Amino acid sequence: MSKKRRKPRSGKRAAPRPQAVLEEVEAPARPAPPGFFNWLMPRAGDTVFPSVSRSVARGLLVVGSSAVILGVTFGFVFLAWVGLVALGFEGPPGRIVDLAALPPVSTYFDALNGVGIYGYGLAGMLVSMGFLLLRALVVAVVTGLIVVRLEGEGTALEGLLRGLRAYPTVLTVNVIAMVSMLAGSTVLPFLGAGIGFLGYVAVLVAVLFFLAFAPAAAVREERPVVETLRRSGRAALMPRSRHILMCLLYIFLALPMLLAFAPEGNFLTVNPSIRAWVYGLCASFIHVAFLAAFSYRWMAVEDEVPERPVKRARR
Amino acid sequence: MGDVAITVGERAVYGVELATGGQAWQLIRNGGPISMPAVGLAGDRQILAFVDTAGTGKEQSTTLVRVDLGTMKELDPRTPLLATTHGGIAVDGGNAYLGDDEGNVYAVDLATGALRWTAEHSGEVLGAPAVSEGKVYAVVHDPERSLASLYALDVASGSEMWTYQPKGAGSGMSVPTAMGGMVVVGTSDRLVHALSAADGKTERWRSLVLSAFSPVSSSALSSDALLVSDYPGGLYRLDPGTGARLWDYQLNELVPRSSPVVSGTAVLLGLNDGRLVAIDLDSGLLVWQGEKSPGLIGAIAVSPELVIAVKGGMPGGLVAWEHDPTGKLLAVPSPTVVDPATLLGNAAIAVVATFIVLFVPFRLLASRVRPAFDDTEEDDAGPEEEEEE
Repeated sequence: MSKKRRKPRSGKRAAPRPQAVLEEVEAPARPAPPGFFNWLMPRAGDTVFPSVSRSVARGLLVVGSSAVILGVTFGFVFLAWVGLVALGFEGPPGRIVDLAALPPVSTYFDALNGVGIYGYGLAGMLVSMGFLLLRALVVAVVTGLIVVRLEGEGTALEGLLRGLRAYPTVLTVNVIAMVSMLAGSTVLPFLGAGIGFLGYVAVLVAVLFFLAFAPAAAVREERPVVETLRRSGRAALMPRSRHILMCLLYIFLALPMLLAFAPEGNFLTVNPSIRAWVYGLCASFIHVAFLAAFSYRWMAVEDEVPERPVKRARR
Repeated sequence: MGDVAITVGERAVYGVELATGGQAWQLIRNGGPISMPAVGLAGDRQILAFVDTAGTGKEQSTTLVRVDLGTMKELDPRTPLLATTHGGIAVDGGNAYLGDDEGNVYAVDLATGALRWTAEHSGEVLGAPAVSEGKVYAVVHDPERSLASLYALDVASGSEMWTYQPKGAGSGMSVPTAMGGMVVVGTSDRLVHALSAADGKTERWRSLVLSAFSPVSSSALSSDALLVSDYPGGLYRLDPGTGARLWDYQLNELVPRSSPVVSGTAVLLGLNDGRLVAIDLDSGLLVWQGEKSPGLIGAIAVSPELVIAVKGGMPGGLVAWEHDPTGKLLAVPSPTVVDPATLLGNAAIAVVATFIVLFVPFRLLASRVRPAFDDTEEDDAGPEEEEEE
C-alpha cells in the first residue's frame, strides 16, 4: 500500500476510507534534498507517523517561528498568573511552568490551583471547573493557530475561528481528563502509596495517549465530538506509531523535569523573578510545541486512521 | 518565673537567670522525652511540674515530678503515668493537665500529686491540653485510623462532654486554643475551625489557610485577634468573631515547633532556620527578624524585659533578646502581597527577552526548512502516483 503524503487541505474534511487500514504503511523513499535541516522531512523507512524526534522538532519549529502562537501563549501565561493572584493564589512561581500544559497535566494543575485557593469543598471544585472551561478555550484556539501554521496557508484569524469551532471537543477532552483524575484519586489511594502513585501516572499517560490527537482532529475534520475522540484513540493504537513513547516523554518532561528545576520552585510569592518568568515561558513554549507535535503527527496520518474499530486477527 | 526562665534538658531541668543567661539552679533528671514544663500555684506555693522517667529497660516508667520553687525540693510522691509523654503540661486552678503517647489525658493535683482523673482514648496526645471555663481540651491523633479528634473533658471529673472529628481532615490537627466560649483548632485540610465550647457541634466559622498545621503548634487568641501559623511558615491574623483573614505573611520557612506569641504591637514566631521574626499586628508587615543560625526556634516566652525562646539543634538551649533602643524597625510586606511594579516589570522583561531568544532563531530556521506538508511533493509526483492516489 503506497500512499502519497498530501498537504492537508485547510478546513476540508478528510475523505472517509472504505475500510480499515492497519498495515504498517511506509512512506515512499524520496531523494533527500541537500542541507542539514532536511532531517525534518519524512524519510524512507518512516511509518506514516513521523518519528518522535522529528515530530518534536517540527513542533518546536512551528511554535518558535510564529509570533502569533508565541504571543498568545505568553499572553495567556501572564494573564493566567495575574488572574490566579487576583483570585487569592499566593504562589509558588513554580506553577507558571505548567500553566500552558496540555491536558491531563494541565487538568491536574487546574484542580490543584482551584482547591489551593478555595479549599477541598464545592467551591474549590467549581473554580477548578471554571479553570477547565478557560483551559479548553485556550487549547482550542492555540491548536487552531498551530494547524493553520502547519497547513502553510490561512490566516491567524482563520486559525482562531477553526479553533473556536473545535471547542466542544477540546472541552470534552478536558472533562474526561478531570473525571479520570478524580476517579483515579478516589480509587488509587486504596492500592497503597507506591502502586497508587504509579497508577496515577498511568492514568495521566492513558488520557494523553487516547486524547492527544483530539484537538488537532477536531480542528482539521470538524466531525462530531464522539467520532473525533474515537478517531484520536484509533490513531493512537495504529502500529508503530511510537505514540506511547511520545506521551511518556511529555509526561516526564511536564511533571518531574520542568518542575524540578523551576527557579523559586516552592517559594511563596506572587511577584516572580525575571528568572522564574523566563523559565516558565520557556516551559510553556515546550508545552505548546508538544501540542504542535501531536497536531503534526495527526495531520500526517489522518487519512490512514480507520473509520471503524479494527478487529485484530488472532495469531 | 520571676527573674528565672525554666527549661527542660535531657538530663536536668535548668533555671536560667534572665539578666545574665547564667544557670541559677538545676534539678537532675533521669531522662526520657523532653516536654514543656509548667509552673502553677498550690495555695501560696509555686510548684514546678515536669516529666521524668524512673527505672531502666522494661521497668522504665514515666512520672510527673513536682518541685516547690520556694524550697527547690521535690515533692513526694511522683505521679506515675501510663505511657511516655511529649506534649507538654498545662496548669490551671491548682491542677496540672497533660496527655501521653497512648491517648490518655491526666489531671494531677499540684499540691498532693494525686491523680484526680485519667481519660483514656485511642491514639496519642502530641500537644499540651487547653483549659478554659470548666473544660479541658485535648487533641488525640490516631495514625492507625488516620483520624484526629478533639475531646472536651469535664475539668472536675474528666468525663467526656463532646468530641469533634472533622470529616476529611485526616490525622493532623493543631493544638487547641480556647477562650470566651470558643475553641479554635486547625485541621490538615487547611481549615481553622472555631467551635462553640458548649457542644463542639456548632461551628461558628471556618477559615481556609494555605497549608496544614504542626501538631504541636497552637494559636494565640485574644478578643480582637486570632493568630495562627501553618507548618510551611504562613502566619495569619484572623478576626476571632468572623474568621475573616485580616492579613497573612508567608515566611517561606518551616514552623515545626513554634507558636505565635503576641508581644506589645507585634506577633513573634520562631522558624526552622533559627530566626525569630516579629510581624506588626495591625499592618502585617515584618518589622524585625533575627539572624539565621543552625537549630530551630521553638517555644517563645515574653517577659517585660526580654523575649526568650527555646533553641534547637546541637547544642540546644535558650536564647534571649532584649530591646535595642538604637535599632530601626523594618517594614517588609509579605512576598505574597502584589507589588505591581515588580510583577509587571519582571514579566515584561521576561516576555520580551524570551520572545526574541526563541522567535529570531526559529524564524531563521523556518526559512531554511521546507513546510511540514510540502506541495512540491505532489507536484513532483508523476501521473502514475496521481492515479494510484
